[in-house]
Amino acid sequence: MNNESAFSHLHPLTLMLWFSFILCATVLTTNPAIALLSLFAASLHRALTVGVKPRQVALMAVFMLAVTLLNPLFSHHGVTVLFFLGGLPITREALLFGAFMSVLCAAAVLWCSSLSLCMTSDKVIYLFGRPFPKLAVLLSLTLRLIPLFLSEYKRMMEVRKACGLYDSSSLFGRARSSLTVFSALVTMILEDSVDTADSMRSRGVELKGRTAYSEYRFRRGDLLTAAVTAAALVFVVLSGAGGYLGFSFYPSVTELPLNSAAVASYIFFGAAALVPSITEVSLWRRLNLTACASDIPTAKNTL
Amino acid sequence: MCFRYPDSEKYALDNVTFTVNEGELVLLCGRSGSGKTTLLRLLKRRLAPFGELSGSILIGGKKAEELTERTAVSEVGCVAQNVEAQLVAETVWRELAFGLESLGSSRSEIRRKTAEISLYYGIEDLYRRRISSLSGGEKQLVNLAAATVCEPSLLLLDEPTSQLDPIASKSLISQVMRLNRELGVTVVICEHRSDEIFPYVDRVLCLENGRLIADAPPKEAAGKSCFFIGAMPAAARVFHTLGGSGVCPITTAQCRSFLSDNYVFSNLPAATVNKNSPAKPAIKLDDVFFRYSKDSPDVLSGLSLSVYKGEVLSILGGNGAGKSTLLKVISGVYKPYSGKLLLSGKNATKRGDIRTALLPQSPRELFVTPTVRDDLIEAAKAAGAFPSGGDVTDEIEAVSKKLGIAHLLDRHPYDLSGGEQQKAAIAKLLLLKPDVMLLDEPTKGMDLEAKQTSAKLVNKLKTIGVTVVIVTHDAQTAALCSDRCALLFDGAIACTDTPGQFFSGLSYFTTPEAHIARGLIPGAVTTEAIAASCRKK
Repeated sequence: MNNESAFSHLHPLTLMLWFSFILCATVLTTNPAIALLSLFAASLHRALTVGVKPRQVALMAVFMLAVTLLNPLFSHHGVTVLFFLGGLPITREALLFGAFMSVLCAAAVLWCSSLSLCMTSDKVIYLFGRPFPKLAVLLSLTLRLIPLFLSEYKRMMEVRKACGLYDSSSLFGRARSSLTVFSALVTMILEDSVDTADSMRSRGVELKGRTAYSEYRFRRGDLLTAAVTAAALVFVVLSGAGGYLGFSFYPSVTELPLNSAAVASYIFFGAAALVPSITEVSLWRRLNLTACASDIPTAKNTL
Repeated sequence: MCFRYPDSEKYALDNVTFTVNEGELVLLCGRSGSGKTTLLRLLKRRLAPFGELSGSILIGGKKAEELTERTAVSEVGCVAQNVEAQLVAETVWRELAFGLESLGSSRSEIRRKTAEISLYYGIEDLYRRRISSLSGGEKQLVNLAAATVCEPSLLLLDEPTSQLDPIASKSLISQVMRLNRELGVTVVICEHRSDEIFPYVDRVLCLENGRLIADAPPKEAAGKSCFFIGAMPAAARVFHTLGGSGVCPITTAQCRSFLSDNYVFSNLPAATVNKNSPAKPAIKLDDVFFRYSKDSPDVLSGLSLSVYKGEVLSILGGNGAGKSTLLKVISGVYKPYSGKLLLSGKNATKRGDIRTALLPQSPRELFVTPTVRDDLIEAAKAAGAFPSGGDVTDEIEAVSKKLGIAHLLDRHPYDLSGGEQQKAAIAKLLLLKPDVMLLDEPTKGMDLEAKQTSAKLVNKLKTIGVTVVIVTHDAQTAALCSDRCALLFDGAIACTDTPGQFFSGLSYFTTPEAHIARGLIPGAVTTEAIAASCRKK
């Protein structure tokens, strides 16, 4: 539970609204300012929650560089030719578009990893379970089966190894061993599901009027986040629809739109994108303050 | 009340009549197949098996089939023996809320009740945990909590401790008794190992072949000699084995005073200990250290142990003492990071001349095919790489006859009963032609009679010349079948001795019979040993 960020404590509905807005806005606007803001905010949030891991940073850099360099090799649109490679023109526009795409992809990847950390299975069940309580039961059952399956698989494999029934000499042997265990496991789980069904029936799964219990509450933080997100959504959608955010790379790179609608969109988008990081930092500050406050009496006691 | 399954001539329950008063704690016992489970399931509307039912079942004065769906769910709670399969949710809180959600309770009500039930059972710290991270005992406690969260007035428990270790089952049983004593919940419990609960129940019902043969308070029930002896507490077993008369003792203290009032004791013949045992060690572990990963603590730390050829060695230890890990180190699944493992004097990296076979805690993990026969063929073929004359089918016939499973060969391994599964698993392992058989908790959840059957099986293995290493929680198992016992504690072997010496040297971690015999008959740790040394005054 160490990876759990302060942001993930928000209500699942707030999280869903926020993540869908940020991801859609990042991917759909084709505006470099939005993409850069998004990447910055995503990196900041990742650094604050998971921390900076040199290997991951390096991997991300290589990925971005690859995307940047690959685009001009395949796309030859654009009017500014930098040089020819094997008779094909390499253009400035294609290079810049590659860079833009790499920023976009990196931001999307980072946000998706945050999403998987924040949107735990519990929250997914809640989102689907509220309108369809029976679906919630099904999801919960499925999610339980996965770790069960894996641990049982490991145990059975170990038993086979201990008895010398595991053929590790060739790839084929290993595959066959795995398949044998896998098929036995499926039977075993089907066998057990009779008991599971009994247990569910005895606790009334067939009764009408099932409710879906959840531990979530809509708090002030949720309201605030939702408000900022909604405002950003309105600005970005309106400016986007009005063409105020328009930016294109081909045939030549246009200027970054800096009209008032666009600037307002950047500001609101930036504010929304920074919400997770702000939540994180404000939690730290509050925790530090209480830690200091509790230090005072102990200091007195020691005197 | 009579009940018959659709395809069967015989009545599964024949003329069973009894009343359970409100707030009673009733123990239902009988051999496996005597109709206990059928009876319990008939009491729960949704679980009632299909078949022909005559007579009537009244619950709270109403006919069971006239109860509304809703009351049938909320008034009667069930806990069954399969710990894992009863759980339906992914997290503990969701599991606890499940029944209440079905009843359509409001959010605040669910919150109150799940909070209350967690406090009652002391499982607040489990509340947010994932089910997959819980231990077996914790899981069954969650099952009990989930069954009682709807505040049932009748609780049905079908061998709830059969998959638990002794310590976890004791704590579960004590929670059940608490429910009954404090909240007045009526409890009908079906239980193999009754030492714990027997003296405290209000009534004992005993089924045999679908007939109710006893319905009496525990003292009277224990006094009846027709009564199924495997279900009795140790005190009553000693009483019956001695052919005692008068009031039957059911607790350790009662039995001690019964013995000292009526009998004089002779010393047991000293066990023949062959000090300079000529047998060579089949397995020798020398200062072995093992841990699962770099940052985890040592599971085995400096363990040294010798297992001699042809002996039965039991290794006892508490929960998480590393018993199963030790077996997996011996069988080569895990490699120690320090220390030596010698198999018949040679380094374990070349495991040519010693073959090990491991019987897992739940034997069904060993079966991978649709019939027992196919599984045996798989094993026989795997061993085929090693020199062995004769046909595969002949070998299978021979082994299955020896273990008495010849009639089960075409059944699906999962359809066998626990005891049959164990026999089939051992047959499979025998076909692998092992020199050393490693048994992981072979008597988990068994009653005394089944334990004795297993002990016989182990002795059979010994006569074939197989060296057996058993790891177990259960002192009784170790006392029944081993040549030597060892105690695994803190990652190393704390002591090794013959069973008699071993258990009379321990004061707490020992058999109930040893508790009874303490100070009266030194070294007596089984009912037979006690009986052998008692002379009537």
